[in-house]
Amino acid sequence: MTDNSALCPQTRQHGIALILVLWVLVLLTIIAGSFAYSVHSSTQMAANAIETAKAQSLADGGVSRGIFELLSGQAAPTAWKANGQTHLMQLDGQDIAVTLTDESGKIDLNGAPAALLTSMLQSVGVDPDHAELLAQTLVGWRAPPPTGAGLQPQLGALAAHGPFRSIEELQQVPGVTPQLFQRLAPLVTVYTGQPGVNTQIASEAVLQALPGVSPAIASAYAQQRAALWQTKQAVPSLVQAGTYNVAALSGVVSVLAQASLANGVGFSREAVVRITGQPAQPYQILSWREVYPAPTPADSPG
Amino acid sequence: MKRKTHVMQRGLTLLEMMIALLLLSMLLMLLFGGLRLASSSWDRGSAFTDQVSQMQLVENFMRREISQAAAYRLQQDPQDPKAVLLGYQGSAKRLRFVAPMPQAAAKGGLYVLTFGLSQQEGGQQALTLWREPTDKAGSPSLANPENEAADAPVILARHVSHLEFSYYGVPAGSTQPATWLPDWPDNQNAPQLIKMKIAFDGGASWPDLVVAPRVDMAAAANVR
Repeated sequence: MTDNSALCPQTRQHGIALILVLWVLVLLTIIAGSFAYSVHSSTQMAANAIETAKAQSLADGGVSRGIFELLSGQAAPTAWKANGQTHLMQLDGQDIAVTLTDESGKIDLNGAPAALLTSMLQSVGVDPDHAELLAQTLVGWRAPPPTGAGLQPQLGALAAHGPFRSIEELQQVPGVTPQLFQRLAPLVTVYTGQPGVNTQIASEAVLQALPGVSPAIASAYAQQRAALWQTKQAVPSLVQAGTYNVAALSGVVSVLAQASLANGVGFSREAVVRITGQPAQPYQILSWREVYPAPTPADSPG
Repeated sequence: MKRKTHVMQRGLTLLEMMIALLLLSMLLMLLFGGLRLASSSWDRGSAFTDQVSQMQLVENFMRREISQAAAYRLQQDPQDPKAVLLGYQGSAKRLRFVAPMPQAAAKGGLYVLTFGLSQQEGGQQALTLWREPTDKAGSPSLANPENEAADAPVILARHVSHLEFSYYGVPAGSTQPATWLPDWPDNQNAPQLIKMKIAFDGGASWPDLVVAPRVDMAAAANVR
């Protein structure tokens, strides 16, 4: 029979089993391939989660180091000053950048007068008319709320909410878009209540936001200040800031720690800490948040 | 014999036929068995990875929100700071606090967040997040977090059979040493640790979520 069938014209019919097996093999290969792919991507996700957790722990360690430096006495020449300078430290072989900034170097949302708010909004790209309106809105928002459990009908949408308790609250103010908030967040604070800023430690962006201070003046002053810091000399206040200059430090310090691992995974933690000077509880953490990467300059402001 | 090849198509004997069929059916059985095994392991494998990535998402989110909780006083009663300060309020079934929400998930700003179980159709339970913007917040109780001003609740995980929060620390007024407690009645001070245990229908469970809140609630609320 085998001899015959080898010559028979219907020979190809006898390959049915082979074709079946081949088809099933193809199917199995596809299944195995896509399964391997999905497992691979979830393995990568897990590896990424581990790296992020590592970076987070490093950043939290950086915050602890920052608080330690604040407590160990600001008088020592080697102490990290709360003046907005970035210090590099190593932990477990990884670099962490820690920045200590006294909150008096930022604009207080509750203490700043309308003119300062207007100038601040203009400095982040809001057009002048809109900026003035928005500053009035902010002043109206922070006014004390009417007593009597809010039973009186509010006139218009602009209700008084009382002072800002956290900068996140800014996002609830009508007219503050997410993009605008991201630009404002590094400039503002709610912890000092001061009508101006301490120009000796304020960042260049905050200096630019002051009325009467142009970007050129701010950048020249920042360079001059950096040179004085290098040689450990006293820094004069910015004269152009006028009445918006506040000389005192608030004792409330923002500690920003940025950890970035070699493979590009990074994490930034910002804690706002108040130094109490009491031995029982030398510091209090007022805010503890994750900082997301700053928006690119291409994003248009609100 | 050779000459007659094309003419004399000799049929198969019954025995040959049966052997051929038997072999073919065994082959098919093996093939489809293998195929079914492969597809069911694929299903189970991808269901598992889905579950793991969902767990990662939910636990990351909860970890971040719990650790970023902000001290907040509701507007209703500015005269009585103790009664309206919202620190962490917790029972074994629910956890409530105020925290900023990421802009991707909400319109931004501070929210009153409540985590707990909700009843879904079919008698199953789901881990649910209720959120309300603080500027619209009424004061829904911990037992009944629904509020008219609240945004629609978000379901974080379905088919939950057991959810339990516990709190490590010393609430104000207690003279006991720090220990795990089923409730956290002290909204002026944060517990040292917050733990969430969760188990699902069918016996699966997630690793315990343990978060150490860092913010000093009373200090943060009395800033001014």
